Parts: sequence; C-alpha cells; structure tokens
Amino acid sequence: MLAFLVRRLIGSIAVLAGVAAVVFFILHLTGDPAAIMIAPDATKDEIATFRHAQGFDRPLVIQFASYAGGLLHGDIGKSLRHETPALALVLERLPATMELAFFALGVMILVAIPAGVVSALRPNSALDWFVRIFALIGQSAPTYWIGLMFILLFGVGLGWLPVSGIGGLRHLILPGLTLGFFSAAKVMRLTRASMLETLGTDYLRTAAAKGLAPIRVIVNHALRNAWLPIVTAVGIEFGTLLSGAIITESIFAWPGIGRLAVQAVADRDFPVVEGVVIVTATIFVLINVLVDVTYVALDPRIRYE
Amino acid sequence: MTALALDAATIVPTVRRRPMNPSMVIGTLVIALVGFIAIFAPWIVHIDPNFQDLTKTSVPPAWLVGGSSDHVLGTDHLGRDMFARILFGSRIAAIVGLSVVLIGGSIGVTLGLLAGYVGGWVDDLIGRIVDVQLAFPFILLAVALVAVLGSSVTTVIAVLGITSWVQYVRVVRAETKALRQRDFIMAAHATGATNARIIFMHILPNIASVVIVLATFEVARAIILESALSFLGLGVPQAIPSWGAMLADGRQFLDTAWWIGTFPGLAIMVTVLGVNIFGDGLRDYVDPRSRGR
Amino acid sequence: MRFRPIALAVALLVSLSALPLRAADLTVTISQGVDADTLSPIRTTNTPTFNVVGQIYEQLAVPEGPGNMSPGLATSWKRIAPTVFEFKLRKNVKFSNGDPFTSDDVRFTVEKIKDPAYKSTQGPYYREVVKIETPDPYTVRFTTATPQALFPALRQRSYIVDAKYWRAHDNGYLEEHPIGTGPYVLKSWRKDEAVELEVNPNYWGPQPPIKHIVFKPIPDAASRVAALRTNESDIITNVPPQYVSTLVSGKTTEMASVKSVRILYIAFNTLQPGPQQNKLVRQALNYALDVPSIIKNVLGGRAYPVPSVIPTNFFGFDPHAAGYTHDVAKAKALLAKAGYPDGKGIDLVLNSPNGRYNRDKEICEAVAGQLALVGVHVTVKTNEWTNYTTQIAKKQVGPMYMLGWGVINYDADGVVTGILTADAPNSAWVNPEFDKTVFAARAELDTTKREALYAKAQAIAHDDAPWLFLFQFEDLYAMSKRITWQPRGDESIVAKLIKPR
Repeated sequence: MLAFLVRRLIGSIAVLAGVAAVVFFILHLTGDPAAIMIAPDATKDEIATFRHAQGFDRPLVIQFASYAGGLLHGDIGKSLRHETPALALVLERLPATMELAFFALGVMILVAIPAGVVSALRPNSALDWFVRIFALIGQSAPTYWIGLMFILLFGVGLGWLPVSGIGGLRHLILPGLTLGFFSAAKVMRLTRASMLETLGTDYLRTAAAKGLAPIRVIVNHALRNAWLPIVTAVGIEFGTLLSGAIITESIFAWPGIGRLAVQAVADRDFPVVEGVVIVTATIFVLINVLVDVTYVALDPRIRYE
Repeated sequence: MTALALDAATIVPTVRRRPMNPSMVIGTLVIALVGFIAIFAPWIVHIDPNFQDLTKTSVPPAWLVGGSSDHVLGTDHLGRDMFARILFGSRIAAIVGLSVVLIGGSIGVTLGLLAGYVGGWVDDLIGRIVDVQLAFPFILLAVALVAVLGSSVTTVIAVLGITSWVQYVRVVRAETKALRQRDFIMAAHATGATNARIIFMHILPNIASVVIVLATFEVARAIILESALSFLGLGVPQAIPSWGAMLADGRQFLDTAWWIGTFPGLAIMVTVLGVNIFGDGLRDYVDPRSRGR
Repeated sequence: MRFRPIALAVALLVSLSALPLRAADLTVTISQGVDADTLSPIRTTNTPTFNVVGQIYEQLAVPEGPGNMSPGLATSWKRIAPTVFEFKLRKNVKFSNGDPFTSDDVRFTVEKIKDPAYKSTQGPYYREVVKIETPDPYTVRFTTATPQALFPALRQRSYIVDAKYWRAHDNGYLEEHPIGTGPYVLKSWRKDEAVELEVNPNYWGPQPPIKHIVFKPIPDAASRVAALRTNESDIITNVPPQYVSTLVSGKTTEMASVKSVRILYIAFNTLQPGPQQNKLVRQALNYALDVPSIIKNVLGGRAYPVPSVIPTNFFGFDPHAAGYTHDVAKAKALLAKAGYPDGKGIDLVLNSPNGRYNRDKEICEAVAGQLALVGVHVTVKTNEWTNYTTQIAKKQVGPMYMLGWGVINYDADGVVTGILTADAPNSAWVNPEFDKTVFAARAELDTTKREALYAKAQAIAHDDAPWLFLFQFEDLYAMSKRITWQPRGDESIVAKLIKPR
C-alpha cells in the first residue's frame, strides 16, 4: 500500500508537470495578448512596444524557461489584466467554486444516491417513475437552461431566492442546484442501474434466503457490491463540477474560478489561465488518490501490487 | 445423425438469448424515427430551414392567435420556419451523438481494459493521461481547437470526443480490475485461456451493461454539450440548424416567443429519452444477471 | 395637555426629516457585463473599467456633443500656437486624501501613460504629444509634433491621478487603492463580485444625491434583466431589444435609450483577391441591402441608419451626404455590369462576431438573406472575439467582416483614422485620395474648412464603398423606478447625476 502511494505521488507530480507544459503551449497557440489589450486604434509600432514591455516578443523557448523557473518558486507571474499576482487571484476565487461544488456534491450524496437505491428497490412504483423522469430531465436540459428556469421561477416569479452574486446560504441554493442537476441525475441513474444489477445476483438471493433482514441485505451486501461504479462516478463528477462550473458561475454572477477562467481565456490572460489549470489539476490529482484509497478500503478484493 | 445444435448459446458462453423486451422496442423505434427524419428531412418538408423572411419574424405556432398554417410550429426571430429547422436539426443530433459515442467509447473502453487488465505502469500511464485531460478546463480546449481548426461540425465532434473518452476509462478500469481477481477468471487462466479470449469472452460481456448505460449518458451529454458550445459561441456554424444552437438562441425569447426554444428542447428530450430507454432495454437483453425490474 | 400640539409638531417634523434621510441612504447598484480590470484609471481602455474609476477620478473636460465639452478639472483651454495647447486648471480642488490638485499631477499622469515600463494601453492617446510644460500650478501646456485640430487630453478619456500619492506607492498597490478628485471614494473591491463606493464629503462640486454606489457585474444578459426585476440591481447596461416589452410593462422597471456613438458596419477586405475588390460589386451589394428592414425586424427599430462613414451626430457629418437606397434593380444592373450577371460566380463569406454586439450574428444572417435575393451567395461564419480582432488587425479576415466602432469625442477624426485610412490597423481598404483628405482635415485648424474636407471624404467613401453601410446603435438601458437617470451616448455612466425619485 505504501509503495503504491509513493508511486502515485511521483506519478502525480509528473501529471502536474505535464499539465503545466501543455497549457503553456496550447495558450501560445491561441494567439498573442498584446494586440488585444492595447487601445483599438494603436499602430503596429505601438503594439510592438507594448509587446516588448510584456516580454511576448522573446523566443518561445526563453519564455517557457522563465515560466518553468517561476513555477518552481510557486510564481506564475502577474495577471495581464489586473497586474497583480495570478496565483493569488486564482486562490482567492477557489473557495467560492468549492462552495458550489460541495453543495452539489451534498445533493448528489444525500439525495441522488438514496433516491437511486430506493428506486431500485421498488421498481415501477410511483417513486421509481418520479426518479426516472427527474433523471431524464436532468440529462436532457443544458445547465444554462436549467439555471434560467430556476431564476425565472424562484427568483423573478416567486421572489424566494436571490438570482445573482454570492452571499449567504440563500445565494448558494439556486446556483448549487443548477450546477448539481446534471450530475445528480447521472448519479441517480447509475445508482439505480448498479443496484438493480446487484439485486439480481444469485449471491444476494442467497443472502435473502438465509433470512437476513432486508435492511442488512441492502446495506451490507447490495450496496457494498454496487458501490464501485457509484464511487467512481461521484469522484469524476466532483472533478467535473470544479471545472464545469463555468456556465453556472456566468449565469449567476458567482465569483468563482470558472468565471475567472472564461474571462481569462477570452482576454488571453495567460498567467491566470495557467494558474486555474494548475490549481484544478492539483485538486484532481488529490481526488484521484482519495478515490483509489476508498476503493481499497471498501473492497479488499482489489489489491495493488 | 446428431448434429450439434449450433446456436448462440454454445458459441458465446456468457451471453444468453432473451426475447426483445418492450424497452428495446420503444427505444429502437424512437432512435429509428430520429434517424429516419435525419435522412429524409428534405422529402418530409419542402421548406428551406435557412430561408429567412424578415417580415414574418417570431410568428406563433399555428394553433395560437397570430399563427398560420404556413408555419405549423411558427417561425424564429429571423423568420425561419421552426418545423423545418427541427426536422433538419435532427441531423446534427444524430451525427454528433453517434460520432462521439463511437470515438469516445472505443478509445475509452480500450484504454480502460488495458489499464485494468494489465495494471502496473500501463495503468499508471493511462491514469496520468486521464488526469491531464480532465485537468483542462473544457472551455480552454474548445477555444484552442476552434482557434486552430475553425468552427465546424468536425471541430465540435473533436472537442466533444476528446472530453468523452475519459468518462469510460475510469469505470471500465475499475470494473476490469475487480473482475480480474474473481474466481472464474482465475479458473479460465488455469485452463490455459489466452488473455485475449478472457477479455473478449468473459470481461467484456460483464462490463457491457455498465458501458452501455454510460454510453447512453454520453449521447445525451454530447447533445447537451453541443448546446453549451453554441451558448458560448463555439458551436456549429450558423448555416447548419442544430437543436442545441436553437435552444441557446431561444433562451432570450422565453417571454416573448417561447416556441423558439421550447420545441428544440422537447426534441432533445425525446431523443435523449429514446436513447436511454434503448440503453436500458439493451442492457437487460445482454446481461444474464439482471432479472425483472 | 399643553404639550400635545408641540408633541404632534415634533413628531411631524421628525417624520418629515426622516423622508429625505431615507432617500439619501439609498444604495444604487449598477450592473455591467464585466468587472473593472483595475482601479488605476490610466492602465486600460475598457469602458466598463472607465465607468467604475470614472466616479473616483476626473478628466480635464468631458465631451457632451460635437465640438462641445463641459469643464472638469480644467476650466478653460485654448490653442496658443498651431502646435501648442494651453489648459487653465480649476483652483482649490483636493484629492480625497487632502493633496492639492495642481499642474504637476497632470504632467505626471501623461508621462506615466507614455512610460513603456508602466505598460499602459492608453499610450496611443497621447502619441502626438512631444512636450509638456507646467509654467505655474494651474496652467499646463501640451506641444504636439504637428498641428492638430483636436486637443490632446480631450481626444480620449483621460483621468488625472495624484502625483504625490503615486510616487509614494508601487504599481501593485495603486491598482487597488485609488485616490482621485471625484465625487466618490472606494469603500471596498471584491473582484468579480462588487465594487462599493461611497460619497466623497470633500468633493469640490455639489454633493451627489446618492451616497452609496455598488458596481455588481453580471455577465449574462438574461441574468442582468432578472436581477433588475428582482431589485437586486437598479441600473443595467446592454439590454438586448427582445427584453424591452417585459421591462417596459414591469411594475418596478423602466427603459431608457440613447443614440450611441458606436456604429456597426460590414467591411470589405479589399486587400484579399475576390469579387469584393471590384468597386461595382461593392456598390451593388449596398443597393441590395434594405437597412431599414433589418433595423425594424431584427433590432425592433432600435438603430439609426448611417449613410456614409461618419455617425450622424458627429462633427464632420454631412447631412447632405448621399447614401445607398434599397434598389434591387440597380443592384442587379451593377452586378451585370461588373461581370457577374445574377450574382453568378460570387460566393462570399461574411465573418461575424458572436454576441459581442446586440444581435450581431442575426444581423449578418439577415444581410446574407437579403444579398441572396439578388443572386449573391453569402455564408455567415461566426468567430470567437479575441481571435477575430487579432486576425482583423492582421488583415487576415475576409472577404467581409462585421465590426463596431465607437469614438467618445463626437469627432469624425477618430472614426476615419481608426478604421479607414491605409495605415489604420483595422482598415482593409486603400484610397490615397481619402487619406489625403482626412489627414488634411486632422491638421486643419479652421472649422468650416475642416467640415468641407470631411464632406469630401464622405463622398469619396460613398463612391468607393469600402463597407456595407449599416447603422448607429441605440443603446438600451433599464433601471428601477426608484431612481431617475439619463444614459449617455458614449456609454459612460455618471453616478453623481443619479437622483432618487
């Protein structure tokens, strides 16, 4: 187990290095920020002067070397838009997105999974149909549409909840539900499918035949066997939530890293994009390790050489 | 003469033949309907979906006040016929849905099998590639690809395909790993079965059910993401009607011309439903262990 | 019992005095599409940023219309030689930290803008200035390299900073800690969330009626409209026309509109080979367009046709300038004459931004539809904004592309030299006669002669048709009924003029 963790750690550092390099080159592929930032009627010479002041006219290899050197000190440079350190900007915004993501995660774990379980236990019941229809809607409606529906219904129409900005719990509800909708639908459906599969196995019928109480059968046996794809899905979904909060944050004017990323990409604010990608990558890597550890803890049959 | 009864049950040991169930039938019908419309759209309706009549913008559907029988489902904000656009829009849905599942699915399942079965450094390498891929903000990838390839259907498929394969890898890998340690696989090894045979005969059929459910999600996700790309301005070109782009456009007319966004939304929902029901039915058909619902 | 009427009177007085107090404590929330980039007023050139810093800082003077400026930190200005401009500054003005405002601050500001190490994108604003002199604390003289019709520092938005304060702090600090002479001071800035301003009690001018202003950016237009309807915002900008009916009929909301200084046009890239290089084809396509129909059906009537290259409310606009009418027959005749009968052989791509301007891609679609009626095949291609502008500056977008252009000083010079002369970065047209005329106009100090030159330039542009001429926008704003406010055509918001209703 220890050897495995060490290997994973080394691998993770390799991932982060790879991510950092790839994002640098992809960004430079998309264009040069100097021309975009300067006044629209600037002449070629003025653009060139500005570009030189920002250091964009140096050969790509030199720029990469300075970028890599900075990274080793934890410095990705200053945001081109704000002239303040990019990493600080990203970390400032991270908590807001984490709030949203955790809210959505909570909905997934506390609502979607139980709903999927119960739905599997009572196939073709009213609840089952409700769950299946809800999952269908969740999957077929894009996030921006759902967000708009919530805003019009609960914000403008009923006036129960605020429709923009960050604040207390009340401000978190609509964007959190919007963000989690698609993922919750997916997890609900996957839980139901996975449970149905497990419930049909002979192994389980034996356990029931042995006379074990139904709840025990469900929790100890069915869920234990069905958990694998569910945990995997939740792990992936949480990661997706972090990077996919882009649309939700734009619609609800939520000051998170998704919105920062959109703006930075549009502005070609290279250091900020690099910051967002590296921070997100780090979180992913941590989640992955966590998910793998969970596997081992829950299923001793999965062994790691 | 006693001829060996060569039926599917003997040749493919772990898959049992079952009668088609209602879900598969309904699902297949819906998918076939969408496919039919996609292919035969120009023959079903003789209106050009791109023809604009600026004097007839935002005409309501025929059954409402102000509607006319010329435009059964009304017109959009540029005076284009909604019915024609919905029919022609099925083409993008079909192309995007199919390509993404095929591309993403084949890459993802293959890599997942490799990672789970072979393990070791192969598993680590694939896992790291998945991580690098997942770490990238979707939008950065989309903007970069659009900047380099220009905005077209191919670009959209490329963007969606790239983000789709990772969804399969993790699940397939985990399931493969779990299966690999199971007794019946050990037994197969012991009887000298080759790795290839084990993978195709024993592992694939057992992960098929989860992969199928995942694939139906991916079709839905592809259609929805295509809409999100249009919302961000990175979708298919204007000249090609697509439900996703129509939905994105229709958002701003919710108060004044609700039909512009609602009908494409319904079309998406019906298609997604059909695909999901088909997936459920297919899973039941293929999977020997699931009994009753 | 004797106290009763007195008590009543006191109660009445107290309740009466409470009324204006409540109004003055009103907080007005303004929602634009983006947050400010910075709180330094001399680093970037974005309107939303200017709208935020513009409440804290002030300019020497503010353009109100063609040839009409209202005094700000400068009380008068005149040309004392063909290349020398003298400004007299307002006396007894202090920055909000107590530092007195003098000519040294003006000189410091301009030098900082021109300093490449500061990396200001406003450098081009002062490109023609070669010398700045401050003969006394309330006089500034700018010397330009060549004679200019327009005054430096008045050509663009230029806000003045406190030299003493700036010398004492580093650039990073100054990005977030603004000190200006304006009617408001910064209370707090949470990036992408809100900028909170409160009134400057030591402002040299009249105290603004609204004491607290919050700028809360909301990127999505539909969400901005929703925020206004739920009273989370009081003023919203960039309202798309399709929300007009909802907002007009709302109980708490109303609309305001103003003729914008921004025009929208479709340029022909005449530097690329193709039918658009033929003048007759360009003229024909202009005749094929029905601009009023597009305005009516796509923009709900919210735009003003522009016959030639200069906006209708600018200095230099010639009211007698000929424009293109919608004449399909003439269009077809010209196409035939050019060698493309019935439009055969013409297959053009029309590049459009995607949501940058109100209904931009819909307008392009409508244009394509109209051109199809004379047989010309046009495909609309949408582009991501940043890529688009970079490529346009490299003149690599064509054969047709749509762009908007706004000039805040109501003067034709900014239009023609930004997008039409051969050396302009965003121009894809070459016409030496036109260039000669407008360069002469830029240096022409006599207003009548200058007007005549621009009239001539417009005629040249009409004939050579570098564009499909479209229109000037009507900018739509919406606000809460609890305030009164008038929007400005140059897209700036002056918070000190907002009044409670």
